Amino acid sequence: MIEINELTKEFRLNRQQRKKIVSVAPSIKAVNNISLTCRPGRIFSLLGPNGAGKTTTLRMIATLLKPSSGSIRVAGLDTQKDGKKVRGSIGFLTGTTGLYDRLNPDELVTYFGRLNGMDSATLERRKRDLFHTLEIFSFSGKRIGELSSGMKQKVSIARTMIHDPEVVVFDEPTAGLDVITAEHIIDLIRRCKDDGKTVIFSSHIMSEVDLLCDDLAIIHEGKILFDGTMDHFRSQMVNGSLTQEFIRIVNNAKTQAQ
Amino acid sequence: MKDIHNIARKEFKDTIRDKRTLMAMIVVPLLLFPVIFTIVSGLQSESMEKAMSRELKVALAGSEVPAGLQDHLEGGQNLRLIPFGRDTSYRRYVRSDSLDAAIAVSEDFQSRVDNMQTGRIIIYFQSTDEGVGQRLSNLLDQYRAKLRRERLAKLNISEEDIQPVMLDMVDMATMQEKIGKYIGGFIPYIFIIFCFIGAMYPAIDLFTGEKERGTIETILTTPVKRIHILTGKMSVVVATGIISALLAIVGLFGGLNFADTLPAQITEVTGDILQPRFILLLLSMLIPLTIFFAGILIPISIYAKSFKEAQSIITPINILVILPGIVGLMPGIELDLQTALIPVINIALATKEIVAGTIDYGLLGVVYTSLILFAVLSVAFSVRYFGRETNILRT
Repeated sequence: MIEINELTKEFRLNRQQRKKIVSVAPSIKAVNNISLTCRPGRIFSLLGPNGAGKTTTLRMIATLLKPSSGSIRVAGLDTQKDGKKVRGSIGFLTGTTGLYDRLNPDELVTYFGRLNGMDSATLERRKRDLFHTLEIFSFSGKRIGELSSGMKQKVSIARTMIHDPEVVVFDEPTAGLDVITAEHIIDLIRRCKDDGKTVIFSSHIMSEVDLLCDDLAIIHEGKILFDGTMDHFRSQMVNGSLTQEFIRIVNNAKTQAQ
Repeated sequence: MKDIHNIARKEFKDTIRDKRTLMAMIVVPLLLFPVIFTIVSGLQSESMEKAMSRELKVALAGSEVPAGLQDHLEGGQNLRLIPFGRDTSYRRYVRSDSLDAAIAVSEDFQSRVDNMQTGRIIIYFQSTDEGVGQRLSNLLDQYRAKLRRERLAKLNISEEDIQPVMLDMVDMATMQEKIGKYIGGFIPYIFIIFCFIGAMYPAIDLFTGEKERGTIETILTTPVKRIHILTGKMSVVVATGIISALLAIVGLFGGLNFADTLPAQITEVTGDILQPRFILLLLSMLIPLTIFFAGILIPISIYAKSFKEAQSIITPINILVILPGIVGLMPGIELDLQTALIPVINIALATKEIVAGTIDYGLLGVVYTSLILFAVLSVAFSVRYFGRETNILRT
């Protein structure tokens, strides 16, 4: 379970950044007073254009960033008070996540298992299961730098899931991946749902969202424009296609802001 | 502690698998001294030998060359005399390298010598041809000494009669003091540079590299505390700096033992300086210094977005390490309360004094205090910097 309550993240802008976004304001609210709930056994999608505040929100959930105000509870724990425990219950994966090229998959997954405080027996058992499911055994002793992108993505998945996290956070997980490799991620997200985990993933690709998610929030300029189930979203659509509906909602918000 | 150990173990494994770091950390410091010694001593002895054993083509000019002189010259080793008589074109030949040198004997040489006057011999040579002038003047000096002895005997005068004063200079400084004065400051300086270079690549790789590869988020989302991540990584950066310096010491020892053509005095004195006590003292200063270096290198590596950016910021800092070292080597600059406070300079100066045996232990205490203080400050800065979310996620 992830409970986000009146969450705001403000970044101070330096002169260069102000120039870049043509603003005189000393700071910018990347996330502006949002509240969301992601439930176990359901897939929650955070949809929004680039710069909407998706990554900032997910990074706050994963305790990489501290909220300026508001609170987040992950698996019943406050991210600011129990950061260490929260991180222990989260698996975090992005489309641009890299791996240590000079280690082999076995060393890498063991390393992350240890950092997550797993004991050797559990770690070995869990690693064996994951390597079996993801078919990693055939290349588990090879340096990661020598692997294909598909193989690397499988190792990334094993790295994310080694400690059997309760909550899984995916930040644009298929960005930059080819269809075959992206399919591994889609499978993983589905499996997480079947296992009763809480899944949140961000995307700006409507078709992906349509394929996977149970609940949806549309975010634009740090604010929530829609928050509800996917079924509810479909039932109140004005346009025929999901993508067009998404564009309409974002454009409406832009017009209102002007 | 377990987390720090896990991080350090992985980072160390990762680091020694990186060819770039391996070169800077192991290969270069280990081989630098042996290679320099071998090349320098090899070249030197080879060129000297060559210059001394080469056959010289020398013109012997003069209408009347005394038979005694001619015999003496013909007795010279590796010397081919080419008689020129009255022909004066030899200068052109020497200039154009057709001849190595020319010996011109004045026309009235023999008569002047016989009349108790000074006869004149001119050697034409090019100083750019190593050893030629020296070889000929040595050869003719023997001839000159022979004529002198003959003349003194004829006049019935002893050598002492014409030498009223004999001047002897006795240098009381030991060879260790003399050579130590120069290399005493130089040796630690070499190790200081290796501490910096050895720490530089791992620092960039372990921090900027994580950003560049997109792995920084994965490590920050583990339950390990940031300070433990930083400590684990920093210990590897410091260890590689120290290992580099240690390997440079090993290389220096190896070089001294294997390069048998080096002047014996340098080999002996350097061997005398590099005693276990000296190495331990030096190491005890290098450890806080390397921590200080790591404390500077790490925030830069955290800030930089790419390996290239990190290198472009760190390269000018290299000069900041090299310059104080040079100041430490300058004559007249000594360890006092001010210089003892400045990192790098203080180590170079303190080591010079340790080698010479003139170290003031009070000042050595100041050196340690300053080094530890700078190390603590730079580590504190790194901790703060690593904790700031805008720096660490700056991409």
